[in-house]
Amino acid sequence: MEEILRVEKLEKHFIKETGFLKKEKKVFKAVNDVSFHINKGETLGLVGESGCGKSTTGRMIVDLIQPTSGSIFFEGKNIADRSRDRKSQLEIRKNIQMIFQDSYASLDPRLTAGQAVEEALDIHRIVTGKKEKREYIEKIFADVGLQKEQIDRYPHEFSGGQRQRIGIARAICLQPKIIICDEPVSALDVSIQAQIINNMEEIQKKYGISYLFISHDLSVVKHISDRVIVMYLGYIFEEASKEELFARPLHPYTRALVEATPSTNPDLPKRNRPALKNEIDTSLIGVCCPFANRCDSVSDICWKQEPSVTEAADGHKVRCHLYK
Amino acid sequence: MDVKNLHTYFYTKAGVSKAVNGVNFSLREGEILGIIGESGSGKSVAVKSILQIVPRPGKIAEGQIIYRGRDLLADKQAIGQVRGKDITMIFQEPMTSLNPVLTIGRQLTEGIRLHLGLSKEEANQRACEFLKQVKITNPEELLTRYPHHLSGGMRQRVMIAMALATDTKILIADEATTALDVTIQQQIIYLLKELRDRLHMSIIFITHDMGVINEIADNTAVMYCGKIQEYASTYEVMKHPRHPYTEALLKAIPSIDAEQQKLSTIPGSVPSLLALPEGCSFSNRCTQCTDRCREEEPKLIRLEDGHRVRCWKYDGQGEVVDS
Repeated sequence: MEEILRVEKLEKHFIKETGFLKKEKKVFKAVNDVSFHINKGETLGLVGESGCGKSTTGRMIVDLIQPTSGSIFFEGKNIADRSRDRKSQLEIRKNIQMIFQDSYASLDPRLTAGQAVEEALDIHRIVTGKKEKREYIEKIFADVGLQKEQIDRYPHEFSGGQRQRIGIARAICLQPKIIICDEPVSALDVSIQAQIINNMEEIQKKYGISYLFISHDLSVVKHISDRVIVMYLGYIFEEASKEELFARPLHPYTRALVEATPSTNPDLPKRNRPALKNEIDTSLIGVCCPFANRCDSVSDICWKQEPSVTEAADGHKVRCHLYK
Repeated sequence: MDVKNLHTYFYTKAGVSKAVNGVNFSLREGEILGIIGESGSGKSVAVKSILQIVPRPGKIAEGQIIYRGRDLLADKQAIGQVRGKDITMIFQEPMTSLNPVLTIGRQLTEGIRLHLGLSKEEANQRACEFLKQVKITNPEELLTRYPHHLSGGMRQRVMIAMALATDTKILIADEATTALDVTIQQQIIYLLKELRDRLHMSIIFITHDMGVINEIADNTAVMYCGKIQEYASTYEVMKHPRHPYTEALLKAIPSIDAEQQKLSTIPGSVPSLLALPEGCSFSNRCTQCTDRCREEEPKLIRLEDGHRVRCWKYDGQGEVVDS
C-alpha cells in the first residue's frame, strides 16, 4: 500500500509561565516521540482518553499547532517546518483537511451552508464561475446527504448531525487526500452517529481519501478503522491492524481499555472489579513508564526506566517493558 | 417510590412543549433503574420533576410522586424534607454543584455539622469516613483541596460522598459518567453498584449510552419523546428488545465485541416536541409503521413475561397498563 503521510518523532511541549511575575517556566510534554504513517485510502484510528495528546497530534498535522520537534512527511515532503511561503502552505492545506467535534463552533453563523463551502472553493480556486460553483456545491451536498434546498440555510437552522454534514462537505469540497477527523461523532446521538459514520465510509470509498480518525470511543474506532494507534499521556502505547489489536491486545493499557468499554451484549459475564485502578499521573511523563501507577503487570523496571517501542509481530508495535 | 402519570410541560412562546408526557414507574429499595433516551427524550426532565427542580418555563402539570406514603407533589412540606437528604442527585458536571471558592472539607462537613450537630474535628472525621467509602485513598489531604484541584472522576466521588453523608435513600445520577474517560467511568459504575449492595440504596441512572445501562442497571426504561416506550429487566431489553425504537437503537451502536459491515441507522431525527407526529411519536422514523400507528397513539402493554412495550405490534397480546 502506498504511504501518504508519515510522522516521525513528533513532540509538542507546552510552556506554562507560573510563579511570581511569571518567572518560573513549567514544561508540559503533551506529545512525546510519536511516529506513525497513514496509507492511501485507509482509516487510521487514534484512540485515547482525555489528555493523551491525540487532538494535539491531529492539530500539528494540519498546522494549527507548531510542533516542538519532529517531522511530518506528506507525500515524501517534510511539512513540519512549514516555510511561510503562502503558495506551498495553501497546497498542503488543500490536501489535508480537518473535521471538528463541535460543528457549531467551526461554522461562521453569518454564512449560509453554501457560502461556507464556497469560501473554501474561492480561496483554493477549485471551481470558478457562479453557475459551476452552484452545481459543484449541489454535488458535494448530495455526497454528504444534504438537500439542495438546504444550501441557502444558516447553521442554526440545522440539527447537530446535519451541521456535521456541512463540516464534512467543507472538508471534501477541496478534494483533499487526508482528512483529520477530531471526534466527529462524539457529540451526536447514537442514531445520528451511525448515519454520519456510514456517510464518511461512503465518501472514503468514492474519493479514496485517507482518514486519521481521532476518538475516545473504542467501539467507534473499531468499527471505522483499518489500523489503530493507542495513545496515553503523549506516547503511542500500541499500534496494530484493527483485527490484530482487538484479537491480541498486548499492552496492559489497551487490554484495560477494551475491558472498560461498555458492551451492549447482555450475555457477557459481568466483571467484579474495574479494569484499572487510579487515575492518570502527568508527573510520570519522562520519568518512567507513564502508566506505571495504574498497571497491574508493573515491575521494578517500569518505575525506573521509560519503555521503548518493540515490534512484537509484523506491524504490531508496543511500548512496554513486558515485550523487551 | 412510585411515579404516577407524570406530566411536565414547558410553556414557551412557540407553544406548549410536552417534555414529559405521562410517565409511570416505580423504584424498589436497592434497585438500580436505568433510564435511557436520546437528547430531548425527556429523561432528564422526568427526574428533575421528582425533586421539583425543573427549570423555567417548565412546570409539572400533573401526576403523583409517592415516596414512603407521601405525595411529594401534593404535600408542600414533604419535598423540602427529602430533597438533598433522602433523595439526592448527581450531575454530569460536578463542578456546577461544587462551590469553587470553598475547600472540599468545608463543603462536605457543612451538612454533617448542620444535621448532626458535631464539632469541627468530629465532622472532619466523619467526612473522611465517607470519602474512604467512595474509594478515596488520602481523605485528610483531600479535605483541604479546592474543587478545581480535582479530576472529573474525583469530583464525582466527592458528590457521591456528599450523598452518603446525608444517608441518602435514593440517588439520582443524571449522565453522571458521561463526561468521564471510560476507565474512570467503569470505576464509578463499580463504586455505585458496591454502595447499592452495601447500603441498599436505590439508584436511578440516566444515560444515553446503552453499554453503560447494560453494565449497571437491573431494570431499564427506554424513553422517547416524553414517554416510556419500553420497560423490562435490563437483560430482556438488551436481549429481546420489543419496541422497534429500542431494536433500531441497539443496532445503530458500533459494538466492541462484534463485527458489523455497515451500521444500521434510524432515518430522520427526533421530532420537535412542538410538532410531534400524530399517533405514535416514533411513527415517522419506524420501519414497521402501519396506518394505525400514524393515526392512533399506542398504549403501554404488559406482555405475559412482564415486559412492557408501547407499540401497536403487540396489541391484544397483553394487558393495557396505562394510556
